Amino acid sequence: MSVALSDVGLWVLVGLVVGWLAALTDRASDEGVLADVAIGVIGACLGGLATWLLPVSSRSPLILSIAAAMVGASVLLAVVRAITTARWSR
Amino acid sequence: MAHADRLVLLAGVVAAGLGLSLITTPPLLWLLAGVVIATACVGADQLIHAHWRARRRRRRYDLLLWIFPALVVAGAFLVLRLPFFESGIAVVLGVGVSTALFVAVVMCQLHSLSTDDPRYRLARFVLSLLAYVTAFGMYSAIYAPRLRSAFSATGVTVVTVLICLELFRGQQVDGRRALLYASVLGLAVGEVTWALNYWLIGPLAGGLLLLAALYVGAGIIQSHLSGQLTARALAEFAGVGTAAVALVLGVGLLPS
Repeated sequence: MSVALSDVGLWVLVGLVVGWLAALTDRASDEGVLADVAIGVIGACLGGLATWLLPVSSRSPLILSIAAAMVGASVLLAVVRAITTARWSR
Repeated sequence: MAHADRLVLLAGVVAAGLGLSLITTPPLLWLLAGVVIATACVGADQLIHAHWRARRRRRRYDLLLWIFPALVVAGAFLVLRLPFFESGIAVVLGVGVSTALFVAVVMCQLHSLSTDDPRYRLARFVLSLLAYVTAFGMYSAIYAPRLRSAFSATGVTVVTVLICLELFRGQQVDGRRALLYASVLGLAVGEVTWALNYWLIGPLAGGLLLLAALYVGAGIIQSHLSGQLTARALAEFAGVGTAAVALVLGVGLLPS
């Protein structure tokens, strides 16, 4: 596996934006904003890395990289939200 | 002393210093920060030298390897003073994550010294990831107190130059050329900070915009250094930068 290093910056950027937007829409507290941003970055990197497992080309296209990072960040944020909401509602 | 023991000892010193910084006020705080940053640099350097001696390889003395550990520790000192870290859990998490980041940086630097290392690619990937995350943390921390441009723009310029030196280290480019490109990009991002100081946006939005500027600039320079800078690549970087700026400014300026 060989990841273009500029892709890493893109995934961090996408993850931060998605996490920040999620925190804004949820009107999260200060700690909540930080957690959403961190989860967004982790999810975007996981999503971005997943594109390297696809048999597309030696370097995945920009749109695919952005889309995968957005999906990864959104899915991880949704999963974490679902888990924390379920815990609080018990 | 084994590598792992040295690293645990060093991580303990960094964690203790970060914890102490939360109950210390200036000017003692600046002294504490200086001592912890210097200890982190010298400790990381000793680990790297021990690593090379164990492999009976030529002793390499590279000041560039001091930059990232120092930046992570300095960034942690700044970030832990943001308003997010007022509760006990947040402080413990902040100190723990900062120390883990420092350990990850030192370990990845050990494996990024030679392209023959089997973990070289993974180490460069993690270092780049941590460089961008550190840049965002420091940009937000510098932008948050809304200091005068003379201080905030200068701080952002210095951080950008140091981060770029670490990013370009993986491009196998000579030191002077890397410093030239890093300085140009540092000045450009500093100029963006100066312009941003006229906008009323939050620290996260400010950090995001500065990170977008760093991503576009560093991406174009890295493409140029690896001989892959084409019109299409340039258009892609410009598109991503424009989209990020439009999105952050659009959302950031919405009435809350």
